Amino acid sequence: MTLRWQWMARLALATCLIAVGCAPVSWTRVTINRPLKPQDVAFIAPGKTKWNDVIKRLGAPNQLIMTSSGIVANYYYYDGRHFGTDFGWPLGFLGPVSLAPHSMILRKAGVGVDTFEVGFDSAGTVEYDSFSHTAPPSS
Amino acid sequence: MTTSITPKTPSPSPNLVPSTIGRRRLASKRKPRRWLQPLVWLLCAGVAIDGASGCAFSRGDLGAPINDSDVASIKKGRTTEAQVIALLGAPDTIHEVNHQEVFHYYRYALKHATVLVFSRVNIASDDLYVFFDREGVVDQVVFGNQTNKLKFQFWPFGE
Repeated sequence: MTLRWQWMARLALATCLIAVGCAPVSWTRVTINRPLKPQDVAFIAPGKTKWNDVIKRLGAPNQLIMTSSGIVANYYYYDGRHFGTDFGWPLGFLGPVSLAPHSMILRKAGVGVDTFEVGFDSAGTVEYDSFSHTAPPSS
Repeated sequence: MTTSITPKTPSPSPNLVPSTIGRRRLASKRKPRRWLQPLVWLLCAGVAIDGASGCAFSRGDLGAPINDSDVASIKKGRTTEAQVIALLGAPDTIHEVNHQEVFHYYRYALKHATVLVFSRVNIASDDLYVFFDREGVVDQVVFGNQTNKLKFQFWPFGE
């Protein structure tokens, strides 16, 4: 058996183990809606831009909040990331040790909320617009 | 008395060069292990099958789909509240803006994919707002359809 075949066999075995769900690592990401970038909302000028212009360019908001002076439109974007690894996974292959609990799992997760908020007065003119102040997901 | 000694193994032909002999020896060593190559191919086939079993794709919905044709049939200045309810059902939420009623219909869609150790879940919403005037007739229709752009993705990095 040549060296090339030996490596292929090892690679195949490792991939098999990962594929059957024995993977000691995992990466997951969850996103809700699409992100709005500063250049997407650069056209908004408080005191000038109207409700119809905002709706035409950005689409329907995800939430409307009524205020005493008008209305607030929120565009939500959530970005969640998760990473997990099990340092005890290799112990599962050691006969007697595998019978005892041997999980040593390290997980890290983060959720970033990037809400874009536009406030309108009672006449439908933009009073203010701003992105929410939150940290991006770190995981 | 003469004794004749016959060699037990035939002596190499003088025509053979040493390098050829070396190759023959290697070939004789490899021969018994040839059965391992099909085994590796079998293992690769197993990887392909396992790879398929290491994949998962799923989708989910919250709320009824909002059809473009239904939205198009809501006419500004003509359609009434009762007609909107007959067409789309009861709204998910009702707001009041400047003494006007606003019906909000929404629907969430989810697409999830897992390939080996990588997973990604994409969620998007369709939002329909129907604004009514004080007489209960449609004043404005705002519809945002994001679920039609929703994709199955498994790679969790990047955009």
